[in-house]
Amino acid sequence: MRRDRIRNFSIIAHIDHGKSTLADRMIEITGAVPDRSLKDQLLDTMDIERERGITIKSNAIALDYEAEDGETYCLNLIDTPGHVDFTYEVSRALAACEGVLLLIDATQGVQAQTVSNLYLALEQELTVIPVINKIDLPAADVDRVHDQIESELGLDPFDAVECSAKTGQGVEAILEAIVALIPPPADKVDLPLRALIFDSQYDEYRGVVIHCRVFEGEVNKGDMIKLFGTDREYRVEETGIFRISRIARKTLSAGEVGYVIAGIKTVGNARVGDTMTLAENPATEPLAGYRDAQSVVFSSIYPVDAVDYEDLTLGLEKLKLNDASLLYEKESSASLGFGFRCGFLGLLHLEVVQERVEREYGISIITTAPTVRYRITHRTGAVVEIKNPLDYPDPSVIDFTEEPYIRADIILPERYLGPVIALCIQNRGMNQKMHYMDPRNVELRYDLPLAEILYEFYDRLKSVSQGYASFAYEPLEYQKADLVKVDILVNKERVDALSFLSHRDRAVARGRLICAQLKKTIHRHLFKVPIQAAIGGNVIARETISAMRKDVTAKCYGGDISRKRKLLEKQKKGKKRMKMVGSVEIPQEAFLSVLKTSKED
Amino acid sequence: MNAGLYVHVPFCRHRCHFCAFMITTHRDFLADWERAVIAELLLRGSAFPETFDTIYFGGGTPSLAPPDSIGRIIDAARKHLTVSPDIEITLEANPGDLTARDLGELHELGVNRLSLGLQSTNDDDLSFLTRHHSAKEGRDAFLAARAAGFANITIDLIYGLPHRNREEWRDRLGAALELEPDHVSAYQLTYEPGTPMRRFRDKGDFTSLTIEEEGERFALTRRWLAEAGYAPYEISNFALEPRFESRHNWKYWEGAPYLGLGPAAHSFRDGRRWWNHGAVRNYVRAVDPKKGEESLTEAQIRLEMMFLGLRTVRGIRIENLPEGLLDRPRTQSYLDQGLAEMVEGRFRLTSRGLAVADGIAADLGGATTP
Repeated sequence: MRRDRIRNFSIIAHIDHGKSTLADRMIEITGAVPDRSLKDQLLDTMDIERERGITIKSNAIALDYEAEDGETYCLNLIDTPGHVDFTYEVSRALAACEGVLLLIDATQGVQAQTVSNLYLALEQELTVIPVINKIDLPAADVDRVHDQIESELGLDPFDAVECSAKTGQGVEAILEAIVALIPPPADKVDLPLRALIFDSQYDEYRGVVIHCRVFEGEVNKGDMIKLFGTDREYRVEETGIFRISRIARKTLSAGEVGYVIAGIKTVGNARVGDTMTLAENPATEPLAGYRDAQSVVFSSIYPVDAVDYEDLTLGLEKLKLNDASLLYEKESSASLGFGFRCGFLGLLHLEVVQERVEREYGISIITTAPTVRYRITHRTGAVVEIKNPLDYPDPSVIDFTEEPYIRADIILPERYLGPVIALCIQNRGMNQKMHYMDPRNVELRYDLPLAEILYEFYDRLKSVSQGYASFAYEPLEYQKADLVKVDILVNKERVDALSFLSHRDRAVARGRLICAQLKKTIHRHLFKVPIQAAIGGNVIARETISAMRKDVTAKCYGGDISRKRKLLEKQKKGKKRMKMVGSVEIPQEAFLSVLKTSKED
Repeated sequence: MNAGLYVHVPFCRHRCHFCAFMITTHRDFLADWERAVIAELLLRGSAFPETFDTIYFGGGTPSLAPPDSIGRIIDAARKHLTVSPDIEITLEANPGDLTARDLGELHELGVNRLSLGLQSTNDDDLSFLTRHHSAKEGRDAFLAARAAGFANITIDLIYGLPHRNREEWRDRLGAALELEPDHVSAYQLTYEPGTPMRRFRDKGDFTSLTIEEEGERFALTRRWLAEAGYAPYEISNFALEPRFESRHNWKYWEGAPYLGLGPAAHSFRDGRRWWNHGAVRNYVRAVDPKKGEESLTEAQIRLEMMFLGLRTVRGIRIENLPEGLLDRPRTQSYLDQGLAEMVEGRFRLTSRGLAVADGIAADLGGATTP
């Protein structure tokens, strides 16, 4: 393929603005996939992606498009994750492109992630083509979006293409705009190889499949490659490009997007953002922008049934093969036995891992309350970082504690301003900016403790704004925090897995909530079960599950006996899904319910 | 151990709203049913060399079967099974079904224990339970049975109805005891899945008692009956004298062999349990009416003996149970809490413990080895 006929681009959008649908339509129109294999969300290969309608992994596909000028172009579409947890992955995928389609829903207009994604694209100095989607809907307000493109995004509204990804209207025009506006890749084939890894996926039979964009030089089957991040060398077994499946090619050269298979055993050795060069005649510098995966949320995973510990270990190892950002280490808890302390990119990442362990490895697990990384300065001057409430030191040795903050950009219709501001304040937010984008829409900027947005902030934001507020965030520096450690006691015994760190002002409210949740999920016992939240020896909240007064069935004659025995046998099995703390049975749901505590109840 | 014979009579005039039994309101199968029951008796009888000392006609509504039909089944049992001369023959009856003549005939045939489905002595209760007889008809039926010569009459009562306070129940119970029954089965109302009663409760037509109220009613019922001279010997069963205890039902609770005839009937012998087709149509048509069976493991038998024993005044003989079935510290904790007591080497539940017998069984059952 001639270099001037290649266009590398990505689609960026706020969630649900139609990214996957547009990709599907482009694939369909260019005929990259035979009709009979067409299904929705073609580029999302994981079940979780399809079910949740989100993209977690980056993916790519090469589309052959015969343009109006009569030439056939190779359009490399690089699909990016659509969630704030994966901002770094998005930025790497964008770095592999020359241009982006910035997709905006005509019924919703510019949203928070529209803006944050645009900034990511501008940072990479990409050509941005605004695309107004869903113009077929009755609620579409195309003129308003044109205004926003100019006033809010600072882009030229005359470049904007209107389309309906659903009906296919305007999609040809988008393809033409890609050809006309996005520049072809620069011709640097004579330089030593430099290729950007924008994703790597694990294939059971072939090992790691590196998804890369070659910027300079070329890579051939049989070459020895070197990865800058690990300084390790591998022999290339296969290179090629992406259609709906992989198509082997002898060479990948500057400007092209494709894959490299080189006998790499785990994706941890081919990290997103790393640069690939040749072992002989290497480039002197890697491409800019590499960074190690940073866990920001921590939680522990325990098997419900201790016999599943081995399987859980294997499950995490396998997930890790395909998910370099998942970090974990062994841990043991007095109440839950053996498990793992894990680090995640964000809450969605946590949920995805949790779901995949349960679904793909068939293990019932308990996940403890997510927490952030706190920085504690001791009176001695020593600084430690803790990511587990159980490591919280005795308060008397602490000089001060700091916690991570984020800067949240929230875009919302003006009429929800009151409840959204209240929500931010409730979550210890500090207002940085408020700006009317137009008479109806406001952009709010709040600095918030990351710990506060872990608990359903996003869900609460959606609910107080009836789904209209959108949200994007970026990390900030640490700030001082007034923390306390809250313990939960069930029947007077501390359940270590339920301990949590909280801002002092919030401890009582949260303690109450957890006690109330536990009261709902722990069944009645033959004795009274007190549930308490305590700071040190000081009880700050309490509930009591009263004793079971009556449960006996009235009748037990001939036909009832088998049924009754089977019920007892079933209950006995059910006990395996319970954790015994002292003489109290705590069901798996009790641990989970603690994660789902909305703040207003 | 002597064996018991159960005969299921599946016919009812209508289905009561609380009922989850296998019944039919189509009585045109009566003749087929009788024939099939006798055929089944011939088919299975030889497997039971034991002496039978009880026959129990349960339902459904056995009082809907003509007395001569009942008579032919009793005759067949006498002919094809070894039957004790001192046999207890119980028949369940609904008030209003049986004339004085029917009652006399049944008594003549050897039925010597009548179980009368009184359910309540209050018309509002009876209507809530969708029973078709009145309080007065219930009382009349009882007196007619006495007059026909029944010296062992038991009555069924249902308590714990919604929106009734404990005094109201005490009055209903008191009125029932004025009849001087020899035995009382007092069942707390349960909302079985699939019944209209359950549906009405779930959609909020009425508010059922809280667990606390149920617990209180359970304890009071036992106390009031005991004060009136009726000794509780099982969760829901009370006898004026030990000889009035249901000999037949003890077979279920003590693991004795029993042969069940009729639709949905269960049989048990030598660690094996089997049961029949439930639908009358399928039962009468089958060459062999057995629908399923199970062979119990040692552990399953122990588990059954444990939870059944816990329901009765006899409790469980601890040292007879293999190590591991009852874990000692746990049983001790029930003794300490006053939920259980040791009487003559047997571990049995107190009134408070009986109210939570299911939970205790689940707990102790959890300690059994598989």
